[in-house]
Amino acid sequence: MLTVYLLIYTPILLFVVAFLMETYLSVVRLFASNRRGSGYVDATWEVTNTLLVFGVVMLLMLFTKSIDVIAAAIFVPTMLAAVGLIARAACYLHIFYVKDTHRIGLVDWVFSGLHLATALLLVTTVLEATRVLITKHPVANTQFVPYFLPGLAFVLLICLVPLVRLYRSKTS
Amino acid sequence: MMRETIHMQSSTEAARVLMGDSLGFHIIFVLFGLTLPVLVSWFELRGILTNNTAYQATARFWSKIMGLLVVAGVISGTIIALQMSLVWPGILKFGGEVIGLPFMFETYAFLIEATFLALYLTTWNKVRPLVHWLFGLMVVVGSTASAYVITSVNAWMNHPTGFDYSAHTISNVHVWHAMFSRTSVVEFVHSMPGYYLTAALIVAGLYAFRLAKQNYHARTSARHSFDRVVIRNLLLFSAAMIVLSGITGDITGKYLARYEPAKLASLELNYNNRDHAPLLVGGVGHDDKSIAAPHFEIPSGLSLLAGNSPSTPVQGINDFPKNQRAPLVIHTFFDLKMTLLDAMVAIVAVSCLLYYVRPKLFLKRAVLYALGIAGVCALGMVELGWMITEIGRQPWAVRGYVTTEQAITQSHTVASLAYVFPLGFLLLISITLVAVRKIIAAEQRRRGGALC
Repeated sequence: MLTVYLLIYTPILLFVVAFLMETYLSVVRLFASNRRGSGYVDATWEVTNTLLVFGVVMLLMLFTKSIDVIAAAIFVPTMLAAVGLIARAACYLHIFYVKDTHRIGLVDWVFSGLHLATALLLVTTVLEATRVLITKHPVANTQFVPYFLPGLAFVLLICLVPLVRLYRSKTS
Repeated sequence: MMRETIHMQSSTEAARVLMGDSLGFHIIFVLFGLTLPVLVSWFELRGILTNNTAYQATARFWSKIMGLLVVAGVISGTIIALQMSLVWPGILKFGGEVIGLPFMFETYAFLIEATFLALYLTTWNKVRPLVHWLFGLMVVVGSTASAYVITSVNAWMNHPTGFDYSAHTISNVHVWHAMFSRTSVVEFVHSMPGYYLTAALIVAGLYAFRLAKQNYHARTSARHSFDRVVIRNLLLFSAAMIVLSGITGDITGKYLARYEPAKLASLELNYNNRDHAPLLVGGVGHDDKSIAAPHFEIPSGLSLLAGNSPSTPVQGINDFPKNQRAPLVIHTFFDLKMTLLDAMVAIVAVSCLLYYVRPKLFLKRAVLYALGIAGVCALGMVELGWMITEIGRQPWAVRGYVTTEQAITQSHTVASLAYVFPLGFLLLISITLVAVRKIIAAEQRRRGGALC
């Protein structure tokens, strides 16, 4: 059972850290000089989102027998966060691909605000899911774990060095 | 009680609209997400092998657009993953023990794709060309694997296998059997050439449109010579994908006749079980077995499609209980899809012919614009194909086991989300298009009008 919780909470924790870093950068760029302000985030965008998908998929797939209860509990905050993610992506594209100037405008403020709102909603999702897991004691699909863990080790072996390199180049 | 039933029906309809809209938008990003890595890798490899910098410049240019589309595609993919699990928990509650693993494996593929894409985009001219190309190849591996496992989940919903079912309980689960079922392979090999074809034709159409805006002298000039090479490459790639789609389409027809006969019966408006069954073109079916609107029949066409022989018996709509019949509207969708296919094949065939036989005629505006239209036809085909698959499974979410109404979430907020998400996707796709246009315009300015 510990493995099950590790599979769910490790990616979610990593996502929260990465997302908070992006949130921090999105706020910092509002008050930074133009040159720094243009350097919010680059290719790690999709990797950060992958961590979210990873955590949510683990939560739902490992507890499919109780998925209706979990889904009902996290439905509203997760769906609102999803709307936030779409709006954030639209702002991102506008700021870094469409807009011609580096001047901070309304969209930049909305972009930053969406980070904060989405982060709050996702934290609510995690807390709500944790509450259900603690109070309802759902049965986990542990039969997947023997298949899943060797694959995870293999994939991490492939991706770890590139990931470290990417996040280090982002912060430098 | 009645109010509860009406609410349930409206929630189900809203959830179907929500999922349908989301998938309709997401599929556009999917086909580019699958095809652009292949095309970019191909151009980069040719550039490395031939030392032709124009190929590498083309790869680099399209990798910029690939990166942009992935930003939007990753978000729409995340939304689909959330909606699939949260709006339709009944599917996973029933079959999570069987199809949970492909969903989990999808995260592997997603991680590989995202990591190596990021690496690919940030290491141009920073690592050896062949190493850089290998990063791109890993993106192809990740995106293709992701497409397979997700297709296998959809295939399982269409034809559930890999378990025994008795007394409302699943037992004797074989996850690998479910993941690598005949249905999964058939769906995958039929959808992939369609995605490749569509994205390649849209890219070719883009080049063609840009060329068509120049005067004839400029179009034939050396400045645009590599634009023409790119169009030729994409046309040949598209022609190969059309042949593959034809072969896999025939396999799919035979598969449907054997394993999903109710869907095939509605698809072809075949009411009765019979041999020498004709293939119906046109017409609109009604529950009273009448066929309205202009139509004609190809004698024994359906029997030939189902089993390569006119004497092959094909099951009819009447063989199935009324509540288990696929909606008849899929026949109209299929006719539309075939019409678009015919138009697209004709345009590609004529374009290929003109390119090699009458190259001057190929560069006429009408031909170039037609090539652009072929991409739109192919996109329509992909969308219709998925509509046929999904609507054709109704009233089931998991065929034979879970109905759509049983699969829906207990949350009452689905109806309002059915309006919010499409608006969000419209906004996302609009900004994506504007951004792509800006990248293209910047590249053209940099290259004096040409794209490469």
